[in-house]
Amino acid sequence: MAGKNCVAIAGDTRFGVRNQTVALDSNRIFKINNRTLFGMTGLNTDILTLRESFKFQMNLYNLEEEREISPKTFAHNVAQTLYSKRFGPYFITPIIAGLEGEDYTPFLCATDLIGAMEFPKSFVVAGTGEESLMGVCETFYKENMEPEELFEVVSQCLLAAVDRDALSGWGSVVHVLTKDGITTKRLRTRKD
Amino acid sequence: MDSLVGFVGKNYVLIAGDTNAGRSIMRLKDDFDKLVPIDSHKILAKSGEIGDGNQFCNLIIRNVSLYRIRNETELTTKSVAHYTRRQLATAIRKNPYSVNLLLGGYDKKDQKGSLYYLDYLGSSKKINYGAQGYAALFVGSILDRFWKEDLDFEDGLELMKKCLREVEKRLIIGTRCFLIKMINSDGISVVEKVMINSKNKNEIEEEN
Repeated sequence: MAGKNCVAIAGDTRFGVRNQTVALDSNRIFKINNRTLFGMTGLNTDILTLRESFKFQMNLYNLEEEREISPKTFAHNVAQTLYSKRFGPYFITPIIAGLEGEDYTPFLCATDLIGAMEFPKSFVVAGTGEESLMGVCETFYKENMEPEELFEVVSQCLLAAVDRDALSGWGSVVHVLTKDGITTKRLRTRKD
Repeated sequence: MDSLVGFVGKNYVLIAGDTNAGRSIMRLKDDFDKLVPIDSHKILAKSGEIGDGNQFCNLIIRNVSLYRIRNETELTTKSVAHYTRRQLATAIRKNPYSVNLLLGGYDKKDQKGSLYYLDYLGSSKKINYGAQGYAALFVGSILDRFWKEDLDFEDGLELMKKCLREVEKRLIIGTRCFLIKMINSDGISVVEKVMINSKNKNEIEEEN
């Protein structure tokens, strides 16, 4: 979700196989650089593979360009990587959140599993609970929220949505990205 | 059909697997060791297709050996898990290995044991305790309840037997015999080959 010169990403930390929970501390939100956060939901193996792939590409980018990638460019990179597997896709739904440019404009992008991008101004959702998330985000979202308020809203949205979705939950993590850095907090959710 | 259970204790990792090798309804072998040593301080516990398990474990063992010979240094458990995961992930869309694994290892540098859950798709997760196969359905909640950080070896063994007792009792497919191995700073050792018979009167009395 986007706020006033800040963005937040929240996700749950359950790793499960269909209805069986395997681990409670799997991290699906990754820091690309100080301006970009990248979250993925979907098949764990593809999440790990793509995490490694993007880490490699970003390291190479940093070395070649001698600068950090902007969120928008990264989003396009993600879309291209996913489309390159158009007929044998990675089964993930990525979300990119970042602060673009000199004046730290919030940037949000969500794509589907083959890289069709959308750039909403308010919020993006993904995962097995995405319909619940969509509803509750729509209700609680306001424009120009300060970081503290943004954190509250994002947390409550996630908590509400994972309570309704059987496959989500078992802990969650919220990252708030401002020009001063990333704040990370863990929330307790229902453990069922 | 295969059951693998593992957890991390105080400076050791305990892994147990049943010793059945079967194909469809037939039990081919009842002394089959599924806990394969990769090097002196790591075990790859395999479950799933027997052939795929053999081939894949061979692949990992030989490549880990090659790394050690080339670079004169042992790989950490995390690195082996990473490498194994990568092999599974690249294979899944080409020539899938139908194996689910538990990788347990002890690292001399950190002086800690670690356990990784790897499945046939290439998912990987570092866990404190877990299981593969039908055992996971029974044993998950037992371990949730009784596993603690830094369990002594005796307590750990008792917990493992509790888990295996439950698997033997409730899993309809007969798995009486389990092999328990431990990895600690001295390496891999076979702890016990347990024959569990819940019909045994003594066993029931012990439960009480």
